[in-house]
Amino acid sequence: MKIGLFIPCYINQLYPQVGISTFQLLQQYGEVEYPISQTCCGQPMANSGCENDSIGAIKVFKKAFEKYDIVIGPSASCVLHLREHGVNIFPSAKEVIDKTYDLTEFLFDIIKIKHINATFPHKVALHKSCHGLRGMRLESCSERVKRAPDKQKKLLKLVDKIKLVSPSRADECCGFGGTFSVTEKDVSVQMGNDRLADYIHNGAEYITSGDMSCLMHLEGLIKRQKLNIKVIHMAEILASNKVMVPEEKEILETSNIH
Amino acid sequence: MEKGNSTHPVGAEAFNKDKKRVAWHDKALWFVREKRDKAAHQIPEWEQLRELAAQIKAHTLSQLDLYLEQFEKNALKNGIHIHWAKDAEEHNTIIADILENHQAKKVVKSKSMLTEECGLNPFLEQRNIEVIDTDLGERIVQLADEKPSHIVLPAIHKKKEEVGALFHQHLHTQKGASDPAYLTQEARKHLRTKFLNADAAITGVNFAVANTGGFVVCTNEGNVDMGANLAKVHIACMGIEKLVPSQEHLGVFLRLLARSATGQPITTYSSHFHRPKKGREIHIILVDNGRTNQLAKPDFKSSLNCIRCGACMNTCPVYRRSGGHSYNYSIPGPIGAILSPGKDLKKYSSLPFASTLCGSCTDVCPVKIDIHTQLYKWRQIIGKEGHLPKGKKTVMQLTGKVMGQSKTFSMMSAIGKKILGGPKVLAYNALNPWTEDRDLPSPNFTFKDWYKKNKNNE
Amino acid sequence: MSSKSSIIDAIRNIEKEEVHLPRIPYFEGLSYDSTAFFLDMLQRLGVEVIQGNSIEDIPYYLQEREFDSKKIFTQFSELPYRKTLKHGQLESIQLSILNGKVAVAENGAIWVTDERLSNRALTVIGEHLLIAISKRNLVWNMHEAYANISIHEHGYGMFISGPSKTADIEQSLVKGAHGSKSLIVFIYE
Repeated sequence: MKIGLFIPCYINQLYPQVGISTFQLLQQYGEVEYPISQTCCGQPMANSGCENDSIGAIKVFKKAFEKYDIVIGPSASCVLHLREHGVNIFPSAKEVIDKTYDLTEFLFDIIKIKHINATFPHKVALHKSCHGLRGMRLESCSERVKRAPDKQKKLLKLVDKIKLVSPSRADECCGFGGTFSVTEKDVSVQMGNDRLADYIHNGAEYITSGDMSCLMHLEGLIKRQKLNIKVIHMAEILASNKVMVPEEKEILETSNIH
Repeated sequence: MEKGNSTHPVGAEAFNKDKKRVAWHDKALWFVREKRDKAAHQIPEWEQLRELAAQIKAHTLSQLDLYLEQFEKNALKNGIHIHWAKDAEEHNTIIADILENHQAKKVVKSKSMLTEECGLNPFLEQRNIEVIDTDLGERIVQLADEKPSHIVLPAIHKKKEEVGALFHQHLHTQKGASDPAYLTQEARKHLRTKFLNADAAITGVNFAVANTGGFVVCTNEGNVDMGANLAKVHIACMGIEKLVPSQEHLGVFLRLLARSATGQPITTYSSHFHRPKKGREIHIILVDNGRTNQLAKPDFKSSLNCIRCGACMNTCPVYRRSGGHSYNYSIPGPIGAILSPGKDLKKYSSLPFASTLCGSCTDVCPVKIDIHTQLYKWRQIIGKEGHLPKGKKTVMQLTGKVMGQSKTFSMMSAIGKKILGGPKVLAYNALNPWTEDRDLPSPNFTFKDWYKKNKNNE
Repeated sequence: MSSKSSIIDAIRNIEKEEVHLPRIPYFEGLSYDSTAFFLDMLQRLGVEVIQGNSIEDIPYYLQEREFDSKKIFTQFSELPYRKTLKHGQLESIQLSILNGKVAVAENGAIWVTDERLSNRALTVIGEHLLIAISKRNLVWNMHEAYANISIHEHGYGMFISGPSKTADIEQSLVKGAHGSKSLIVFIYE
């Protein structure tokens, strides 16, 4: 299987380690390639009411990924955006979008993994990102009487020594919301702080999620307030036993590309 | 976008000045949301009921002209007077005329979001008619000279001490008294005299039944039944979307409405009016006021499914932390944010952006309105019609250009990193509000850098 | 053009796809014992329950209570209370006794109508309310309830499911907002 690795723009730039973990995880299941021409799914523009300004991004996406058997990205939000709106914005991208999946979907639905070589001896709270939760139905949500398969929770339970803790509000939004975090800054910050208080109160050492954008917002608040909790993408936990070879580590620490 | 305090972020910022109040408001509404969850989970066929309700509404709307005519015919047969109003002004004028015909000067009114939408109270007050809102929450905000901040819980933003002070001033309750039971009893006494002396009663309508020509109004307090049954004239105001085909459909909606609204299995009173008592009159006003416009928009017509339960407000993390008044529209919250742009796109252009698109509103909605999808779609229309704030539009055009070309993207990443000390190509100058409260990581390499260096080693 | 025609025409001019009216399926009750469920629901709704043999027993159950029988209204011709009232007398009513037609186990609501109701406000204006309902008229849910009544037969009818209440002041529940401060459900054979 030829896997196209889709790394959302902000992960590429701000959280490269999430990309690395995803890459390492996927390598077990096929030939993974990261087409370097990729840019972004176009969601920031589209959610701001500027779908037309996002056509270029989807065109680039189509061109970059059409040659792969399957396209995987560590972000429910970006994948969902392509699925729900991308086809409408740029119809000829349909074929590519139809074979694009979020990492959780890939591991749970396509590979159907039952075991994973990963250890994470920490108390972890799963932050159910709204797009994964309600858009993709990866997890059950408290509003609905129907249950979903709880894919992310099941994947995390495969990790050795992990202890999952539940927040008091099982699935409240973190308040990121793309440009919402800037235009509606007061509410956004309050929502984030409320989530953090909940996770901290319930004893979590780490907050994990399938979407780094939620975690970026939460981490921004954690660091500014020097709170005693950390964020980590699910891919990093699932790839926790992929010990990096020393040369790579060196590159990570010393790299100063520009 | 308008200047002044009319945009949502401005209202939200003001509300967020008092952090304790925000937390209190959030908690009060979350409590209602949790009660709703429990009530919904008691019904195994809950999701099926939602689907049925949505289909019944969609069907009714697809033949609304026929159902309206059927309803009118049957209501007339029942001895009910029917009036048609194109807009708010006509609605208000019809009511003023009915009141004048009966020389009615004292009116009691139960909760009706439609009369809020039409600005009925100030219209009648200008004509020297006393209009008393009889729902306790609405009476509180009326005495405070405010607007309801929630469609089911109009005074949810008020603390009991504030209500106590208000009642002390207007109803002469004991100074400093804030016990809800005491205050409610005093309001009961005060409003009983209003009910007993009212010339006319105005109520809303929850459901109107086409094939019987009658209508249903739901309350917990009993104020509809006090008002409408004591006064000589009962005027019921309804949007044209309130119809259901027949009585069997009421079963679906009455199982959903109160569970969604407050977590009760049903409201205390579900009152069905079909004919006036001898010597009395019932008038129904069928109001359009923008509804046919909304019906003509395929992407937005299902917003007319709304049964005004308020569940989307209770669940909305933004509403809970910004308060109903920040929306500056008669119906606040997510549903207000998809109804209001249809009325005035420019004026309400900030409302569809008052959401993270988390989708919780869509999942609680008992009539399955895809609220968050409609919020997204209104955003596109606002963008196309040029009602976005200028800075935002410019940033998005620029970002779109960067993201649309691989080479520019790489170049901008590099420049961004050099100039800004970090790769902030995502947000440019719009980043300032972010950094007031939040940090951003600044790793010294990108994934792309790592991949280029490592792909051959793998 | 009249407002009616302009509204109807506006709707008619909208291109609408046909949407099928769904059939409402049969929904089962929430447990195997509707009576037990009903009683439990009434308790949760803050309703007092009296179980008796027949309507005629109601005065017996009321004699211990401090009601002035002149200030009791009833829809039942067989009961020795007031059947008609003038507008000015309404407010003095201590207890309204209404004839429940259908009771719904799932939500505790009972259907009453304006039959022998000299003033419709008597459903709410009395200080307290008693609704008598026969065990035989208990159904599971609202679908069954509507299948058993004809709403247009009566000028006015309502489902009542407890004392009047409000939570408009800081979400704290208070009974007796405008309507009856308490509800007694008298269940007979």
